[in-house]
Amino acid sequence: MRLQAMRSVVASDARSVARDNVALATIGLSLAGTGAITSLGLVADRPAAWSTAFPFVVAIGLVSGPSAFGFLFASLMVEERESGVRWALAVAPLPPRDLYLVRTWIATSWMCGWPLVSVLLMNATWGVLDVSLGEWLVIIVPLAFLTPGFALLIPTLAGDRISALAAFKVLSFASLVPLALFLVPPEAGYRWALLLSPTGFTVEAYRRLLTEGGPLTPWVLGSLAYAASLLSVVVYFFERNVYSSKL
Amino acid sequence: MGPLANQLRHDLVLQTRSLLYPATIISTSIIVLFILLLPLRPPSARLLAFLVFLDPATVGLAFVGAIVLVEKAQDTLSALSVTPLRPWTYVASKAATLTLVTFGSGLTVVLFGAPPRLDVARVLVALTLSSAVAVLMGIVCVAGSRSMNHLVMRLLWVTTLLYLPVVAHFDLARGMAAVALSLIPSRAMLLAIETALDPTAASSMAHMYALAYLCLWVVVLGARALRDFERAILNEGL
Repeated sequence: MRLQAMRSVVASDARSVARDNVALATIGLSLAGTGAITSLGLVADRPAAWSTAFPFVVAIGLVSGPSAFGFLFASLMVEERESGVRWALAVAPLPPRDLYLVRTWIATSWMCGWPLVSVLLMNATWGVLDVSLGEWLVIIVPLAFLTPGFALLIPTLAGDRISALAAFKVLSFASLVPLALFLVPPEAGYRWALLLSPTGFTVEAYRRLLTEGGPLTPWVLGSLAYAASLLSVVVYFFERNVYSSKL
Repeated sequence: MGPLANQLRHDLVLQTRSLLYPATIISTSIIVLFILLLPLRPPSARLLAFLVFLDPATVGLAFVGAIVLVEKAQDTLSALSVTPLRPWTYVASKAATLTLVTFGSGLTVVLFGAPPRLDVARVLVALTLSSAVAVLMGIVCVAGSRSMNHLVMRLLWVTTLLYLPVVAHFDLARGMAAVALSLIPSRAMLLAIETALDPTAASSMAHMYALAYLCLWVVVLGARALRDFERAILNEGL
């Protein structure tokens, strides 16, 4: 019964996403972006400034992924709340935790795989970043683990589509802030403040990987701990406010 | 109280109830923080124009769509369709209230950037035209959108297109590529904002092109938005 209910939810989500060509457009745009940047890498006499900007462009792409893909699944939940489907789900034979586990698992898996393929493809033609597969993984996986936190945080904060978009905007900007770590002097005392952002530790790991070659362990552990803490707090409030059994 | 004043009040209340204003305050603060962290002070007019374009100038693009979808879901549009409210009043109210948000956010970013040759009047003109284009584009996008994700997908394509001219803005595209990118209205937005921040950044001819081109887009998108509002948005609301 429970498995059947989970299948129904996945099928319903798939229909909802397929109806609006969401998945197709998202994948299409990601492919187009990756294809365009990969093709630019084939330009033999490209300006030197392009190569200087390449690591920064990769960083922007990586840190903006979790909020963007989290928002796709968050929108489904916000619309369920607005349309009243959430009340129907409250009496379905499926524990709320299973429902959002299924949804966030799909988003997290995608965010572990696609960014890796994308950066490997782009860097194959640009040849700018001397980063191994293992090093890419320790940068990308902690970022992917932010996706479920973001996907659940948006419906927790937002009661309607306007506030969902507003919450998404704040999360997107907050994710981009640590890119300033590339700009501020290494001795600046306020650098730690940028680590308050969900992507702060990962951006610092990426920056250190490119500039100093490591060590990455403290930064990667920090980003994983951040993602786990965020998820725990968000799940607590999400279950209380959004998918509690109380109608 | 006239219909426009009523509609303006309704929009302000709706936007206040949602997280739009706090979100804009946070995003503006983050841009200001970024400016303060920049090693180069004051930042170049080109960079500052990009930061103003990044969010303040185009804040209405996505939000107007979300607002229309919420009004559709709450049956506000069904109610509006049987009132004497004219479509232009609805569209003008959305553009005016979201342009106020653009002013607040854009001017804050500009003031913290402190460009030495700032022309505030030109900044306001550039922000008004940019915001109007963004809001009208958002209304065209939301017409026929079935859900939030459907709208977001449309916006994703439009936003990607709008960001392409950033390449030309930073002189990374030249020749025919730069000319082709000038056809996208965001090139004119960036140019209008940049020349308002530093009148010596481009020729007066380029500044005139930017303003005239944005006015043209306002007229074209305005006509399309009014048509879509009547055909797609209002009729779907019923």
